[in-house]
Amino acid sequence: MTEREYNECVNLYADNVYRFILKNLRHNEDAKDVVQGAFEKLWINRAKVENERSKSYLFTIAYNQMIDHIRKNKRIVLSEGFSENAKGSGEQKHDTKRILNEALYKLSEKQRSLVLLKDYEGYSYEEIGQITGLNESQVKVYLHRARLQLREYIVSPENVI
Amino acid sequence: MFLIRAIKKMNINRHNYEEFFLLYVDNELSAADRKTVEVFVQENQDLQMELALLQQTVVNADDIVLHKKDWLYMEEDISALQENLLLYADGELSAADKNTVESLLITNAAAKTEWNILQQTKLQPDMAVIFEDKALLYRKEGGKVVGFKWWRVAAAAVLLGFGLWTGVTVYKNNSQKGGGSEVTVKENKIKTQQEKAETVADPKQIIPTVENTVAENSSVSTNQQTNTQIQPGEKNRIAAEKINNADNQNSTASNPTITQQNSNPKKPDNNLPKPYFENINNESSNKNVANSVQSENNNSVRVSGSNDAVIKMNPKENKAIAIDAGNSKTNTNLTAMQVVNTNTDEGDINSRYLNVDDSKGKRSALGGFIRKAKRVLERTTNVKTGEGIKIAGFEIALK
Repeated sequence: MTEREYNECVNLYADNVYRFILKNLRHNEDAKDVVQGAFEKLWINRAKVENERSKSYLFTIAYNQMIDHIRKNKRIVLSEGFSENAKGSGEQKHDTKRILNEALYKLSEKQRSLVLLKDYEGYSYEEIGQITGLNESQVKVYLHRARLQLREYIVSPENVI
Repeated sequence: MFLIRAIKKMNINRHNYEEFFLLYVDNELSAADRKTVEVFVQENQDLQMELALLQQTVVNADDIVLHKKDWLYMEEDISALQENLLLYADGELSAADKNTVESLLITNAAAKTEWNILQQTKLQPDMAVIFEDKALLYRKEGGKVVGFKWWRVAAAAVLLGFGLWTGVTVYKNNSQKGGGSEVTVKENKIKTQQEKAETVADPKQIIPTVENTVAENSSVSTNQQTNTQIQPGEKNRIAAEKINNADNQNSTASNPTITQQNSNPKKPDNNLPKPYFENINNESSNKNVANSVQSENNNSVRVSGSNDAVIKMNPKENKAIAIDAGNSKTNTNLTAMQVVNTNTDEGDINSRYLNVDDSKGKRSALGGFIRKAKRVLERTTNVKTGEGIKIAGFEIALK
């Protein structure tokens, strides 16, 4: 990967990685730190990374750093900044989206990451497995259970649309 | 087992009964051995209590019961329909399975409903959330690091050393030619210069004044010799020949006064005395370079009675110089910077030098080559150079 390709990666994938991490951590500055760390690592290892695989490499690093961050902090505090960001970013017009977001945060970190990688980035099970270090069967099981949990949440009586 | 067999061979008695009792409590004895222990206890009633105590140490867990086990019961949480729909939603189905699911969704209402619900669980990325500080992430590669080989260092050191050596050599040559307080000029050179002067000068009256290259020198020394009138301040185009070449002129510009006197008895072209002297008086800092000195000013004149013209000068003190003019017939005036000597033998004078080591006056071949190269460079580039060394368009000042 050349310098130009790396900087192109910044343009192409920085928002995606940031969105993925922010949705998991719900903390603006922490998410930025993780993204910056991921790109730092990509820059250091640019000689070993092919440009075609740079996106999944970025997500892999970001995911691992996010897990490390969660393990270190053990608790995630919904910061005011993120609330404002979420509020300003997308004016949740529909209850479905709000309920779905609530349901998302009831999932485990692993399940939430899998759902986000699938829904946000459209990765296949195999690719998600490579990013998260799971095999394809595990990804499938975790993802399906997570999806059904979301389903149960949105069809529950208190959240009936 | 080995231990048990060993015990088995031994008969139980009052000395080894404890080991048999422990094995009995742990249910590690065979039925026959257990029977043996029980018989032994009946035969020894006092040990019956001890066996009972050991039996009470056995922990019994029968009272711990998990009453409600409902929460442990599991059921298949994902039906085949749901799994197919989820795989279909995730795009993980083969083409054949995909067609099957699509046809099922058309025909089966329950499947359609389930599909609609599952569709709602699909998250949509919020595109308004962006990483604003991308400038933090941009990187630029540094320049390539080129290894500096040892032989390149060596070559650079050689070139530098050669340059320094050349510079020092040239500087020394220039110093020898123009520097110092005492300079000797060979007689024959002066003779040719005087010949030139005679051809130009007025034959009736030769006014040999000293052309001083220093502008601020206001006082010009004059010397009258054999009825020669010397007019101070008048510029003489004849007698003022600079010694050697342009380099030497430059070098002597800052040097103390150099006074040269020459005699040429073989030139009786006219009846007038010849101004056999040549002056190079170039000390810029000397405000009074050439003061006229009258003959009666004897404190600066010392007569030695020889034919040699010896000029000794101390530029720092600007003193008058000891002058030998013993054989001069008409030497009446002496200047501090000029000495007149006449009737001297040419061969004798040519062999004379003024306090300058002969070896120092010699030029090296390399110095000559460099000077030639410098002149060629000056002509071609039309660049005026100072006293420094000019290398590749750069001039290094020597002072």
